[in-house]
Amino acid sequence: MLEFFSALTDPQTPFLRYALLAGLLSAIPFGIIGSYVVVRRISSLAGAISHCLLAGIGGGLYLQQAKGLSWCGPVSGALVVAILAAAALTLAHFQAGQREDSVIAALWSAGMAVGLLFLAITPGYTDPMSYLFGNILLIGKSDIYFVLALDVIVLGLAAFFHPRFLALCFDDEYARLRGLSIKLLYFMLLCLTALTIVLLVRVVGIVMVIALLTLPAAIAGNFAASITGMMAGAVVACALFIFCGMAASYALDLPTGPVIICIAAAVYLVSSLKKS
Amino acid sequence: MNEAVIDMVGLSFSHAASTILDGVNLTIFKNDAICLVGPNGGGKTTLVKLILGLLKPDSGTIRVFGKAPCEVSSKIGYVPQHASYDPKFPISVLDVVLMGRLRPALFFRYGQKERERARTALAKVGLDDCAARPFAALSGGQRQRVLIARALAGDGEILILDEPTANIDQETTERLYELLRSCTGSLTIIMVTHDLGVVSSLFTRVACVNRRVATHPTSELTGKMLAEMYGDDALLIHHDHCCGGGHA
Repeated sequence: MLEFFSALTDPQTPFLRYALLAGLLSAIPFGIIGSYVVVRRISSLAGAISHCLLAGIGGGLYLQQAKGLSWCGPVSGALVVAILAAAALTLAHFQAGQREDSVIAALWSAGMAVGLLFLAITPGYTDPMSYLFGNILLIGKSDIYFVLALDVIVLGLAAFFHPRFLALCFDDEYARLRGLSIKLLYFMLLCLTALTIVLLVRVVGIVMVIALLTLPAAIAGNFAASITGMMAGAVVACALFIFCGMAASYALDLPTGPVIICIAAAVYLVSSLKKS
Repeated sequence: MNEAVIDMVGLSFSHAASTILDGVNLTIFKNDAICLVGPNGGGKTTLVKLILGLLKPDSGTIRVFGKAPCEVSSKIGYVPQHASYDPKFPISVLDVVLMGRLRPALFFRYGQKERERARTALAKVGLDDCAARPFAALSGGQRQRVLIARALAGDGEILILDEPTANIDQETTERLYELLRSCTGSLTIIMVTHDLGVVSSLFTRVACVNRRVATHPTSELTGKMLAEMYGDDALLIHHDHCCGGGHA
């Protein structure tokens, strides 16, 4: 643990500081949006969105490297695809009825397929492993600003719309009777979920990010009596998992993403057993 | 008589090729207390959802306060038959009731007035001391009362209850009827029920719903009339009616 602290202050390893800072800053939207995702039971939708992001990451890299569009890149590509996926899933929820499940599966795998194809035709070699399972080396100083900006957006919208999101999650039929636009609210919630996922994809990767979104909220939900309590608990749990995961991965020389997720899953298991 | 608050003309609704409601004409007046009875699958809940604007009719017109139902649904307090909520949802009782006061305004927040109304509604169902408790910690009957408080909190002019006594004990049922009795005359009350014993004492009119709708003043209600409406279920229902009880 002491070595981890000295590494954090070591000028030779700035990426460690950036990754930790990005992770801790991301814990706030993860706890808040994760709580909505857990109580509204849309974890599978969040999974579809996160896997879809590979299409955006691949597409962004391709346009940047092969077409020379400097404003494109993995992050901007992921953002665009995140919003598109949220829109597609909203349409599926309200139009496809019983077939929503199939749309989720299609989006999930087609997004990955498109992403891998883009990576294959992008000049030079890009290791998809970094995006699939996370790589803290991908995080730089500019990413901290990006995370901060998204923090402000997610927090602001969640605070502003909280009573409505709560009604949507608890009983959307009643919210509709009160005159609220359920489709718009649902789309906004999915957009916020998508933006939040983009935040941490590079730390823990596309495949595992869903665990970091839902496990802290699920753990907090085992003990919290109100959704705000659940959110606060989830933020703390998420930050702790990221910090402990990074420290452990540094000490044991293991990949960071899987260590973080294993810690989160172990705590979830213990808390669920204790609860029952 | 009074002004009409709900007006249905030639209303039909079908689902998956089976006709559920066929040519329904029904007018409900201000401060009416009307109960909807009829066999399962007869279309009672469908009728309620058409009034709320949750379903759209295939043909015919329905007007609530002279407007399309979905425009005025916020003037209706509604207690659903099958609540769609997650019973383990981490939310306080007060927050559930506050949802009855939600409005679509962009800058909407729950203010002092909203909280007061929600507490008043909770007091009406006898749960004012439970406001801060988690909804998940309540019994089934208490939760049902919270949902009734949510329906009352909106200060709507119409109160619709879809089989509100289906999952609650006898004592809570009595309390509910007492509450409804105190609301008659100041609210338009529409209740779906199988509990025919209560019909005549609480309601002024009965609407028998079985694909079509026929209304009768409760004073004219006879077992024979119900038997005709209920069709194949006649014997069972007739028997229940004679005993003054109802389905569980």
